[in-house]
Amino acid sequence: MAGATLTPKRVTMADAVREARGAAGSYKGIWSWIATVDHKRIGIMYGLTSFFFFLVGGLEALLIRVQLARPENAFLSPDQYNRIFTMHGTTMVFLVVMPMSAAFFNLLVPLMIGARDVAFPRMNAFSFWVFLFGGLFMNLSFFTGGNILKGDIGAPDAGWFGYAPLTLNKFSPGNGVNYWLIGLQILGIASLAGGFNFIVTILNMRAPGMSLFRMPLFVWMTLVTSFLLIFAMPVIAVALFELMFDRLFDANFFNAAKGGTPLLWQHMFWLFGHPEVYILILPAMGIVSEVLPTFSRKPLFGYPFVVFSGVAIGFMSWGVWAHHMYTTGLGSVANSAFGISTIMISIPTGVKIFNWMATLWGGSISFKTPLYFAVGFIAMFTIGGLTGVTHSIVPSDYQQQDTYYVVAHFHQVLFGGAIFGLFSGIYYWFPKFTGRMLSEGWGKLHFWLMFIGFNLTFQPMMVLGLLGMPRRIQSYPDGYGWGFWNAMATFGAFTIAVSILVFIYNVIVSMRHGEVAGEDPWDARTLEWTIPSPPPPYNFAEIPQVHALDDFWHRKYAEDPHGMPIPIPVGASAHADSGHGDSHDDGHGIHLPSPSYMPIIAAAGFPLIGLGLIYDAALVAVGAAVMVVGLYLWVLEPATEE
Amino acid sequence: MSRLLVVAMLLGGVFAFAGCGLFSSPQNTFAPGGQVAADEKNLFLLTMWPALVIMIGVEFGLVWILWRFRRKKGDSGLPAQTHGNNKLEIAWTVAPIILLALFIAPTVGGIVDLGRTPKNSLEIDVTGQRFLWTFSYPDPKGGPPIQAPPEKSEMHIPLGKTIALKLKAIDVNHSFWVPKLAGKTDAIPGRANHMWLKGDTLGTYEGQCAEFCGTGHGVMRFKVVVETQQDFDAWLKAQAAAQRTDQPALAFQGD
Repeated sequence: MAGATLTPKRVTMADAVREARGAAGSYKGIWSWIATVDHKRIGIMYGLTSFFFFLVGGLEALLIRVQLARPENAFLSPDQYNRIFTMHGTTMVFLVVMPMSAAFFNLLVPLMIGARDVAFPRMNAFSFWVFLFGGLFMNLSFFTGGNILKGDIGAPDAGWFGYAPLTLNKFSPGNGVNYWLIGLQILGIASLAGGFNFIVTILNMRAPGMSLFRMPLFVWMTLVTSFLLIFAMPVIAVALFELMFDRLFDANFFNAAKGGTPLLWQHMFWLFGHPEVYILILPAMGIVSEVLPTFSRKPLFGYPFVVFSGVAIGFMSWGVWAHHMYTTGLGSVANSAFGISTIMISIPTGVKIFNWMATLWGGSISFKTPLYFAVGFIAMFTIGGLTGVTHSIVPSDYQQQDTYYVVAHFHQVLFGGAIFGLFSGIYYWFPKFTGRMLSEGWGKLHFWLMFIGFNLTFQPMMVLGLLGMPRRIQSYPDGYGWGFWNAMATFGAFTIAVSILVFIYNVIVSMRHGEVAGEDPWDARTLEWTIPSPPPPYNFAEIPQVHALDDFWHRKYAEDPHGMPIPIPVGASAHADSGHGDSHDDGHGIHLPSPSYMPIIAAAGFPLIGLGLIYDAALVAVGAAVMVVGLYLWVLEPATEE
Repeated sequence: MSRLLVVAMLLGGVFAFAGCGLFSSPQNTFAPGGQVAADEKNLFLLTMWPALVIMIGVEFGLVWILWRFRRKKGDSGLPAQTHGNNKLEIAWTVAPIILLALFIAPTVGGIVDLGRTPKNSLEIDVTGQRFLWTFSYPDPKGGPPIQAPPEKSEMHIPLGKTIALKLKAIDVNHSFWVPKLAGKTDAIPGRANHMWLKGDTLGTYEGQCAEFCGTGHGVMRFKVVVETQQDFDAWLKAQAAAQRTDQPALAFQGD
């Protein structure tokens, strides 16, 4: 699959079929999107879907902030409040940051490693459709509580962490938690499919010459994240199955009244949950590691150290889960061990921050919007990391656990870190996939509004936590000194909302009138910038031969003995042989995987099975049949026509 | 960005100076009323100050680097292509290890201190249930346990005496938290957890459930009254007397 195959000159039946398929998969119309197996289109669908859920989760955040804006507010009832904050957390983790990272994996990994697609293109499409259906399935729960227009919402109400035994039928009646647990189960399948796909893609599909240590850092972080995914998702899958058995079939894993073990849930949830934190942040770290070198015009400082600190974080993330459980009575030995491991995981993170700063040091820094967001990432993630260190001081954490101090901390990491990093990536790669630049003016306005809004929202929460405000309370009395800080946080949240509107406006305007980007608008370093914007379906007319880390940069610049770059005249590249053979420039004769309807059909089985589990077992059979038929036809279908 | 930081610091100063009220709360963890909360606050400060110094160093360093190495108008060249520096890498790996290692001893020391209930403590059984707390005291005369009136959700303790709490939950998880007296410990169905605390200043302290437990989580509040030993003895005696006339003892059902 990696190599281009020459087409015979004679027109054959296969050519005719290919032409016909080419028209059907002609990249026009809705059906071409539904049947697509092109990693770039799947990436765009991942991105758009996760951005839609970002707006949903953001709306939920605003509802929370309105409710908490002043003491003794009654904008939302406790029941509504619990459902809204449960869905806010679940949405932002599983339907926003994870799939938006997956969007970047899809868009970038094949281009960065010089491949024509991922290893398993149809499985890639399957992964997207399962994610989409899982997200819709979970949000369907909103409509199951009666009349939603009257505020009767049926969403899950037991928190995104779903602690047993609160999740059991007795305490969370109705179907909300069922939607939640089955929805997460479905989303886990999407994550597993994606994780395996990217591991195989990265290990097997690299262009000749691209050794592991010539891979862009973003690809490394994708690899680490994918390994975390394939090991972490099964853990929560088991936990969710047990909860499902308790709720649907009256089993007894978590019900203490019958001898079950509530604490078991917490161990499994956080054994998944802490690697999950790094699943959320490592992709953004990868993006920042690509953006900073481009805009400072220097290679990433200490590349192998940044790679290995990312790998170290991946390993260490498995040894810190009980720091979410210091107050559950695990005893002094366990608390000491997990306190120390939590102290130590900050070291590789610190190494990354220092290397990013050293990358900027001595550079010639262009202040473009992607750089603003990347620097915002470093600035805010640093605070998130340092507040994380304070959590490792176990006795002091007995106070901060489950307060707004923790809420501030993880938003510092996941919003100040992950979301800022992802926006940096959006501004950086938007021209590559649309052919047009996003407006710098609107982009910087977006950044400053979001940066100021972010700090107004989340820094007051640190104060609130230290002033003793617990999380997940729908209301608080007057006279507790919390009103002012909450009002400030609410003001900040609306500032963030305005910044997102600016971003949307920027995208709409720039799609139509933005400056045309060209192949390499930023004078960048990696392979995706060697091909047209937007890239052709086959990505590379000829698979590139890779000679170095930052290969594209070295095609453009040589280094003199003092390490100063000297531009290489166009066409005189030392690696000109690797460049653009004329025979394939129109993309003819390049074998691409054919479009397929089977991934979406197979994926459609899952939500049907989910609905069946909740409402009627007959539907389980229908869903299973749909899935099996989809998979069966998938197996019989040739990957490429020949 | 640097100007913004200055503004932020000025604003912070104004708040600190003019708005002491903004930093006070009946649940302020920085205003301890007992030894445990004081120790926890000191441990927090032990990490907070170095963390603040590092934070300010990194943030200002970042802004300074951006300013110093910005591309000026007319710049057309490219900077030297430095790839790394192993000595620097070792330095900024080892230095944090040394700094962080300094936190290990006080952390483990604190865990052990708080994990070991002092001898001769007064033992109180605390039960969390949706959405109130009940407190049960041993009868000094050896009779049946004495219940504090559950409708008040109020725990009385004598001043300066260590109190050993045995925490249970009868429905879902809860967490017992009196911010000014001690950090929290969870009450989990099917197991008993232990913590201790001490009231060193007379007064009434606010407590609140800190583990999400359902629609009443936000109102699952209670009070801890720290009073002199004589007042406490009198109070306990009165509860015992009330309980004898109120037989049978209150039994609460989870909903």
